[in-house]
Amino acid sequence: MEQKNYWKGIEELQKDPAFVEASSKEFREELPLEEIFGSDSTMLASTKRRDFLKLMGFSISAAALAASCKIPVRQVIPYVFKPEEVYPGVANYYASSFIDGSDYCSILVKTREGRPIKIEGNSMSSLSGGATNARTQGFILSLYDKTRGQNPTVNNENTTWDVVDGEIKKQLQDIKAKGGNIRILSSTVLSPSTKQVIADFAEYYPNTKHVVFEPVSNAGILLANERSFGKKVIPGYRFDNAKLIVSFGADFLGTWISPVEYTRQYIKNRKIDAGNPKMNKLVSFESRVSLTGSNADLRVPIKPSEQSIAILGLYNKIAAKAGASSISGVPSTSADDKISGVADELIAAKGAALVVSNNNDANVQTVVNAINDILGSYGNTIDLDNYSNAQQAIDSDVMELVDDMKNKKVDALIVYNSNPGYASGFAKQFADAIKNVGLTISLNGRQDETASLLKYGCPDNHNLESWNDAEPRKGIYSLAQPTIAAIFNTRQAQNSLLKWSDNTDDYYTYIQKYWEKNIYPSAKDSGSFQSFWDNSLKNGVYENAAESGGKETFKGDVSTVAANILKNKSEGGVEIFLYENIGIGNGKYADNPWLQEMPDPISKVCWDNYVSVSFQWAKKFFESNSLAMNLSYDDKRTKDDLDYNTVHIVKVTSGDFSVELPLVVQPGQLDGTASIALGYGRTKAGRAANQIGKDVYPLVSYNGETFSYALTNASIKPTGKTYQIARTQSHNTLEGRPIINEYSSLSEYKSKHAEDGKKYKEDHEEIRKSTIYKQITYQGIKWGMSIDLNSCIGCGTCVVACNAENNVPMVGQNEVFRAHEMHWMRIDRYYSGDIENPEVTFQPMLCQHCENAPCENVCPVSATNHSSEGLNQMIYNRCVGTKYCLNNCPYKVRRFNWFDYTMADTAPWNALNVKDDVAMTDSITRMVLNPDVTVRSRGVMEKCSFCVQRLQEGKLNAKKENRPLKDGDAKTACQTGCPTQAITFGNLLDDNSAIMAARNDDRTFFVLDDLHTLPSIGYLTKVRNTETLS
Amino acid sequence: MANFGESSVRPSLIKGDKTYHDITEDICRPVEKAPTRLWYIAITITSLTALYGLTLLGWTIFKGIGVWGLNKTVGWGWDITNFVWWIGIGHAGTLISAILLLFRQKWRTGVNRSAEAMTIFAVICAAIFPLFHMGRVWDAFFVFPYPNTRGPLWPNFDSALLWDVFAISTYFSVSLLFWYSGLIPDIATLRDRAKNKIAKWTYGFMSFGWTGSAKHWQRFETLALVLAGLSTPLVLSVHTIVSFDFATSVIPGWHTTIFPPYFVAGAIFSGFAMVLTLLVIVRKVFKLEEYITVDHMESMNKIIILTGSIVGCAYLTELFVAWYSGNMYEQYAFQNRALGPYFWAYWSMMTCNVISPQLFWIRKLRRNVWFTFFMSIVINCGMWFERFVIIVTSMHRDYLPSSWSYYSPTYVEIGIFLGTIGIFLTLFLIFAKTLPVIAIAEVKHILKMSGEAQKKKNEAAERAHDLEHGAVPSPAFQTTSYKP
Amino acid sequence: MSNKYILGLFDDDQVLLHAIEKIRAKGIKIHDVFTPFPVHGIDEALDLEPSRIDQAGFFYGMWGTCCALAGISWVLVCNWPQNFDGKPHFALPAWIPIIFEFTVLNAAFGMFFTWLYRCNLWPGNPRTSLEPRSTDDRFTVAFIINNDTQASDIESWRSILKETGAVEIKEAQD
Repeated sequence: MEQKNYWKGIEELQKDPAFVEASSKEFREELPLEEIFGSDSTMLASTKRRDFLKLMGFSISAAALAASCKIPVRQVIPYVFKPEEVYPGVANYYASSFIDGSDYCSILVKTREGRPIKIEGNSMSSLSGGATNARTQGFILSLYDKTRGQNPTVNNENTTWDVVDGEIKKQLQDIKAKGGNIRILSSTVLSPSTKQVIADFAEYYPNTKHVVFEPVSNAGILLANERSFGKKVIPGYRFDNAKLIVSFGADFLGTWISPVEYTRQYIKNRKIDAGNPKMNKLVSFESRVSLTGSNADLRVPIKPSEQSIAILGLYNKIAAKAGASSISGVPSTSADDKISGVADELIAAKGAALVVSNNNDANVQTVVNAINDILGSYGNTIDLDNYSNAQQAIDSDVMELVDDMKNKKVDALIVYNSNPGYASGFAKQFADAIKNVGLTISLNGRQDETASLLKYGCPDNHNLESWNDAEPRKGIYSLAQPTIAAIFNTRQAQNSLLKWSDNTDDYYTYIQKYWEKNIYPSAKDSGSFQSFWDNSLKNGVYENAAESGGKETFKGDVSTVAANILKNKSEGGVEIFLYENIGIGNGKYADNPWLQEMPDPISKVCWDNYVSVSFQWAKKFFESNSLAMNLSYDDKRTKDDLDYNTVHIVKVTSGDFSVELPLVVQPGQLDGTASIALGYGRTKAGRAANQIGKDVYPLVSYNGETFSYALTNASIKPTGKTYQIARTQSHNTLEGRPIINEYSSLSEYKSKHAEDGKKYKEDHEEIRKSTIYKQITYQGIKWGMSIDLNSCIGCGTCVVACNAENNVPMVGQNEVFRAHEMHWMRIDRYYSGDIENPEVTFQPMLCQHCENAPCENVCPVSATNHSSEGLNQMIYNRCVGTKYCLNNCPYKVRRFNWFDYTMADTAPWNALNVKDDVAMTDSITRMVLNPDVTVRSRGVMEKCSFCVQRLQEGKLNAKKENRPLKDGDAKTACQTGCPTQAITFGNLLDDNSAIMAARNDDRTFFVLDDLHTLPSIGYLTKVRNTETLS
Repeated sequence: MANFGESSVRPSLIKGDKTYHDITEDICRPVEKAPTRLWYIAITITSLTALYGLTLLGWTIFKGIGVWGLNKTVGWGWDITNFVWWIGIGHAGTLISAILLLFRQKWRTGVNRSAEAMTIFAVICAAIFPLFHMGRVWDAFFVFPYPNTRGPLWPNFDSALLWDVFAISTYFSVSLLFWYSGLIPDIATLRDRAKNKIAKWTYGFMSFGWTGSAKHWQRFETLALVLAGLSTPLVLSVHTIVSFDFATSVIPGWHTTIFPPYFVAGAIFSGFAMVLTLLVIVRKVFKLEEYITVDHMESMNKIIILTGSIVGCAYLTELFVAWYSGNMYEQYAFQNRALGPYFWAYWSMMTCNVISPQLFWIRKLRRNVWFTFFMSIVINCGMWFERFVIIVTSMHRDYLPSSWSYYSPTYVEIGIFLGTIGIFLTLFLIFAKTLPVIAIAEVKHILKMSGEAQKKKNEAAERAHDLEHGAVPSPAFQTTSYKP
Repeated sequence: MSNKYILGLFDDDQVLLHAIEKIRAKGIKIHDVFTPFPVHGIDEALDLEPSRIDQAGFFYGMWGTCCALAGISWVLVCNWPQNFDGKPHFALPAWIPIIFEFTVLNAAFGMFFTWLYRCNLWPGNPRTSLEPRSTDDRFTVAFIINNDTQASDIESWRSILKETGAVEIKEAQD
């Protein structure tokens, strides 16, 4: 993103410390609410919303009004006392950070009238560099989740902070006095200051230990690195330096450790430059079809149980070539031939190769390290000096903690942002063990499964209400600042800890002191700390990463770990791999309708988890159990597409645990294996996620050292029940239609693209000319978009970004099943080739803003027409909802408001049939609505507008500065959200704009060009890098 | 119209020996008699069905179109299917009264009144659907070009849907005029016969003060003739325009140039079927077999063979063109119709519309009342399926396979359709009980030429003249050849 | 004001036509003839001018055509030109359906109301037939009795009616 003038922390304007002190509140001056409302009881004896308004102050009220919230008129006040920097209708951007446990992204928070409404990537960060992912985009919605913790609680009863503080303090003192043990259980803490807070706490209360727990852990890597290099760290991977990436199940584009960062690195060498076409190559060994696998140039299906053996096999091949000792007794796997090929390529790419694995077994990771060591990856594609601080959990610690609790060795347990009561294989033991702990405190943001087990609930602020810092990678610091006062009666967890350890500072001051002491000295610039601080706050990041220390010496013992690996054998059942959903992660984002309704990139299922099995396996399964096979895939001619979404429910059993889940046939899932997403079936998630899907965490096992997410002893039995699964795309093949262009190899691209491009351009011009009408000519501006199918990884970030920007309604599971989803932007996913291991192609599909838009001509009331800037516009308040335009749209991108999904009508009964906990119908959730975008009422058509509100803003800014529109003045939400910059947008009449550069690319093609709709969106042909490197 | 005694080859259109007064009596009797128990039972059932439909319409407005089975891919389902179906049915009425009037088809007189009534009621039912399929029906007035203060704000006259608005409203109002102008003299008859005060006043009010003065009759006939002349192109235009809704779109299976004739033929086809359905009942219930004769039905069955065959040709033409065009989308659309998820709809259509009407080549069946009745039902079903096939199967799998989907109606849509049938029958029952179901004046008019007894008289006269000397013209002849 | 009439009732249209001819041959003025259905030849017999409703209809129709064409082109070309589907503003072919419908609408309504007006027909018009059976099976010839009517006239009417085969002769008043 260009250099906007980011708004800094307000206090930064004032240098005097007293003010800085005061300004830790959202507003610099005391809000004169009393004067305005009079301190009569009406303000105090108040309903929830009034409380909320009292906290938010009038700026929010005004914003709320802008979002057409129903609020008592007397709260709506002109800016008699206008807060500094807040101008009605002008958005303020604050640099901040998305920090949730191990997940990190440097962001800009867009606020309107003091109300955060949108998250953008922060281009100042070298890690995320302006990129975001779906979770980051969805983060804003969780701020307005009315089911977050709203008050401190004792035994789940609301109370006041004084009460909890008093009681907790006293008991902590007693424990301290009798030298009892205190444990702080948290997820990964990226924040150095928070770590310091915990350290101080531990100092104040001796016998305090900090235990880190991650539901989906990578402890294997930590341990392996400790054993191989004596560094217990998650390395800083450098996918951008890799020519060849081999991933054993590591879904680094979707969910693995730090996907935003890795996606950005990965795509750097993926972009094709006609002048000098180079591409990295991605090989993926996996059992399920992950996002990474679906983007791989070579995808090798392999059983979870064979994964480690395959890695050993690969080691042998490479070791043999490199003249290192090889391991004996490695059984052969189904993928051996592929492996030897890959080994050759890795050797060929020595120094620019990278092998990663999601396997949580330290032994396996040690072998991976060995391979990388032979390939000379360390110092090139792996950096152990600038290590990552993500995923710090050592699984044995938490198991030890549970044992201690069982044996009454723990006197106080403080849980901070961690949910082992649900998201763990040992949830039951944990729940039982809790009973043996005298003092149990929850610092979680909501009364979730764990918090509700604990005595005291001290709800944490939402991240966007808090001060915080982070060190996602060594030497790379990031700041988070509050963009809104705490909506509910919550308190930042760090403040709680500080308070209990008798520290008078509040966390904001604490962070500043910490930075002054530990980070400022390392800063190169010689300015005052204040200016350093202000700068860092303004940029959101301060980066001071050291050079990579270069080569590491591998100290691991491959032969012994190999022996350990070869010990464990498959138990011969169905092999199930438990994975993390790209949207709701390990379950902590489950309460976010945007992420729940974002379809899975591959299966296109939303609002559910399910058992994915292979086509072959399903056929056998159905035949052996004489069930009807509801698949449009095999005989699509006679099967109903929606019937394809009516699936069987099966019973998955492993040991004494069994669960009933819908069975989904996933082309590409390896025969004899299955995969199930974690994070569903929550019971205390809040509003949206309760009883959505089934909880399979009990299937996560502990092997004495680390958690394992693969099991080999499962059995799948039919139940005879069927189930209607919500998926947004039920037809999977292109039917041989020329909708997507693709080069099957880089060399094909090199040899063909020139004349292909030329020919296509000629044909397109031919089509363009072939009309009896006079061509409409555009002056000044004609908006256009270009989508690079080669960069698009199908992650779905654009979908969520679009939801956030354009107030796209959420409709819920049942409505999605009825094909009523409202997404303005969807990502079409098509399979080609072998059904057992198909090639996957993604195509983002949104309104094409056709020059000759078939939808316009058919509207009887002129509710949709063409703007002079080439936009196909929707006039909502003119639309009577005949749906004729929807019928006549060849791309089927128009969406009809079947019900009042967003409570836009004044008649409340309109929203009766909309699930309140899904749609944005309550006044708090509606705070997230973008005041620049109309909230569509029931019965009108809607569709992508190219973010017309942003285009207007861009033009206005240009006008204010009295200059013509520059390239990049106006950007769409999908474009800014996209982590791979697959989307280019701009003015087609500006010859040296980025969009024209993309248009002139030989790969440009238009969808359904021969209909003479003349779309404004061009797609760039996908190129697969399938040749073997040598 | 010349007043010659009609050739004896033509079957007489009025059976038995009827005087003018008998005609009045026979036709007015059912109106003047107290309703029968059968009638009461019938109207109870139909009006309850109507009520059910209206309730579900209310439900749709209350909740939103989402209570229907439509989805992101299929924007029109049963609603527009029913619309086209009803409009088609309406066409027969106008056709019989207008076109047959122009073609001097005397047999129309027996059936045109109820056929026209049917037209009007059918159009009412049809209009319900395009109106209530709107997401915001309360804004339906947006479609009319009314002057407003919202700055230039007009409907889009290029939109086929707006053409529909004009076509339907014109068609409805003109049919209404045509029908009512024909009714006025007969209402006057009822007025002059009415015994009780209320009836006298009501019919007096509705008869506009008609006296049957010679000059009025003269103007009446001119009006009828010109209105018929206008209605003929009108009725053809209406279904042509309805077909434009689809023909002017880009969806494979819709974008078809043969739609206009194809739709008109289909409309007449289904319309005559519906007329037969009703008349078979009416003539039984009201004992009008002597006015609505088997010959009437045979004539209509002949038209059904014709139009049915035209429709059949259209179906085959579509298939041929799809294959011949070489357009993959078009080809898939038709392949999908016959073999896709909706194959059952396609084949029901084929059987009901193309194959079964051919049975009417057999004279016996053509003249069999009950077989005719059965066939009329079959054809109505077939034509409903035709519209369903065209609308839904084209839409549910169009260009991008990613958004392919499947549509099935909810109970609401089904209920609303039943409701319109209820409305239709209720209106028809009320009509049949309050107004003459046969155009009294027109039947009297043809009595001399086509009445059974009168024909006999004429023939007798001719025979007599053959036996005797020279050319003694028949009485009928004398009267007309009279010159002052 | 109410008039007295002498009515001659016939039971057959052909007989009626003879009667009219005879009566008019005698130079007796017939007030009006009421029939249950349009009897053909009666216009000639009574020397009635042919109706011009059809001509009126033509002009109404033309008027409709012009209004529609002018209105639509004004709206889509002058008043509110918009870009729909990249089509030209003056899209005449697309307007033909509406223009046609509007033509028919105007012609039909114009003619119908002209007819009502000329025949003085309107809802609730209290006028009824002088002879109730004249809308059933009687063909009625009516002579009007006004101030300068002598008794002799009435006599002659009665006689002529008798000899032309009237089945019934009666007086009536409206």
